[in-house]
Amino acid sequence: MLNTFSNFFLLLIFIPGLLQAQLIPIEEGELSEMTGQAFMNIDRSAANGLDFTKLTLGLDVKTSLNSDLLELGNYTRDGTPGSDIKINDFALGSIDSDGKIVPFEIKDPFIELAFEDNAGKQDLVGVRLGFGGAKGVLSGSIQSLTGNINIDIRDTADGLSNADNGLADLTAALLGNSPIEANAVLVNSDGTPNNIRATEIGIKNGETFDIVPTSGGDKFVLWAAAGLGIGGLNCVDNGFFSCGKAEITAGGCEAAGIDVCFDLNTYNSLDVGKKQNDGSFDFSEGLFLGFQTKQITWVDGSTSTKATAGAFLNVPNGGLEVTLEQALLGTKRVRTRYADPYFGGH
Amino acid sequence: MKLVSLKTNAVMSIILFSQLSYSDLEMLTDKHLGNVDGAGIGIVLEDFIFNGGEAVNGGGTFEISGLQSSDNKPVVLGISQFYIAGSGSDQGTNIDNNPVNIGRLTNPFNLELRDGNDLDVGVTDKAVFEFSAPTILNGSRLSERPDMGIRFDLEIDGVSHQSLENHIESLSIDGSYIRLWGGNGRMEGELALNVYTPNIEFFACDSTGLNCGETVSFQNVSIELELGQGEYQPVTFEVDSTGNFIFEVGTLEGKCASTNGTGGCDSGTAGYTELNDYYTTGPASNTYIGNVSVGGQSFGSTTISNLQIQYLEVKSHDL
Repeated sequence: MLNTFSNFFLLLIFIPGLLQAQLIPIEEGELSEMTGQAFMNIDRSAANGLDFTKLTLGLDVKTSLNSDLLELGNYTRDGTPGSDIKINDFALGSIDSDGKIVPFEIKDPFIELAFEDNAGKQDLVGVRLGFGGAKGVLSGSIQSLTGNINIDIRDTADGLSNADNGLADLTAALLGNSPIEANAVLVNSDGTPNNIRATEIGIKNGETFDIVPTSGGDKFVLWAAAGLGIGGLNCVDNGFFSCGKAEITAGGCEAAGIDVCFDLNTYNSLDVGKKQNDGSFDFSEGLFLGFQTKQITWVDGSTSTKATAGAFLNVPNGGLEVTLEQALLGTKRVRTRYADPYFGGH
Repeated sequence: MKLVSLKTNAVMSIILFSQLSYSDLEMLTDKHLGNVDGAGIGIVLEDFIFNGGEAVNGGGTFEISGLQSSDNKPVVLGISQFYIAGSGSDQGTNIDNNPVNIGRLTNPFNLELRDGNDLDVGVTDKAVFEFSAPTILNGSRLSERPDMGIRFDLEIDGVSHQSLENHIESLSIDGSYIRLWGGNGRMEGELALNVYTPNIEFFACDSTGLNCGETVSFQNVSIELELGQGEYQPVTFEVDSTGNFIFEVGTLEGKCASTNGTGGCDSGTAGYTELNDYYTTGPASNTYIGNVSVGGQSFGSTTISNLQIQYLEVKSHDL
């Protein structure tokens, strides 16, 4: 009797224990109604004879980081040792004068694989890490760069006074407020375009500085200056005592006696992003770091980018914009640490 | 009868006592926990083999579904093989009778509560949970370094496209650890992840897993990742009210009592010493890949050295 009672009592004691320990599984039917956050996409596409598999992550990333060295593709290329990409003191993001971190921002990063059909086999011929959008300051001393890094130079002619050249000074004095535009790309020291292990950026041979005055007075001055051949100006939009647009053509890394090719390592900090009218930057598409065995055309929406073999850093056209002064004299490095060697260690 | 009754009462008392104890766990204060110095639990898996997937003895496939392409077509990732085995697994084909020891009795994986005041922990007066891999000092032997691999089968909108394979040889994560503690009303932590392997390979095959193409391999890989530094720069992982996750490495902003005119921290200012120490000896990540090879073509080494993250926020969102 007592044993029966004990057993019954023991059972009562154990029941709550069992209940406490028992997790009830969710039924398959209930589980199938659960939906996770769709923060990942996988796509397949085909273009230019290649198949692509792309994994995109729905992420917003904000960061501030520093690295002593970023070096990719260190091997002997065409008989010459070196690195496809080598950046010393690499940094993303900055610290403003109030001591606030201004992060480098990235959205929707992706990894894309490129495959080539080889008699029924899928040869992996390229891989890239890219970003749906990026903005912020990229700093570093660029020793070697394989890729695309087009820089828009936008300023007024007044900026030519930084060139330390008499003709440029005169042009600057005459047309101080006229907008001036040019596009700089990776080049050799003779001005020929070269995006493999480049150490210089500049206005390639045959490319022009465009001076586009807005006022009637400046158009007249430009017409007169071009007529006199001042500063190598060539009017391409002639009017009646007026020039709507004049060019200075670059050749051999010079334009009207001005050096137009610059060491990459003088650009110590670069703004990445689309510059807005108010001077701020919005996200820019097309920033990627690729690695491919042969030239591959990567596609981003309506934009196609040819990437050469090896490591390849693509910064989209229009993503970087500097003034003439910055182009001619380089860009100073922004603060990237609170105790920063570039600011005397503090 | 009395004897039985006494025994029964004793048993009942023990049971009741255990039940009461079970339901009335008393919290230890962080200070008390900080004094705990247990040896922890060492974990070693000897003669370990894992081999799963449909390609193995008619096994089932583990599928990740619910994914979509950018044009909203359903995507299914089937994992047709996942293995952990001994060295020489030959890309997952030599698994049977090829076991590996995960850890060693004299150098195991460890689960333990540590005193946060220990110099290498740096979480004042708190107990810190630590899960750590074998130490670098004693180093995992070849028989303790597993081969691992995984094969994904990609299906989009009901059409099988390809099979993607990844194989890692002789993997060691010696010196890795994750530490967790309670702070500021949330769980905080820091982590170190080391990955050493002589070879990581990626390649693709057709949808049946045959006709595999050229291989991309990363040789002599050494990745040493450090994120966070105790309470000075905690790492946090949270889920917000929308169901999205937020991963953060704490910011260094505000560590200097008063910044100068360019935003820097002058020596002598409160916080300067800690910041300077952080930049010279704080958490840093290094990556070295001896050679990247694609289809037998060599593209040399890759180096990222002394990478320090002074702020990171990663937040997910729907695509």
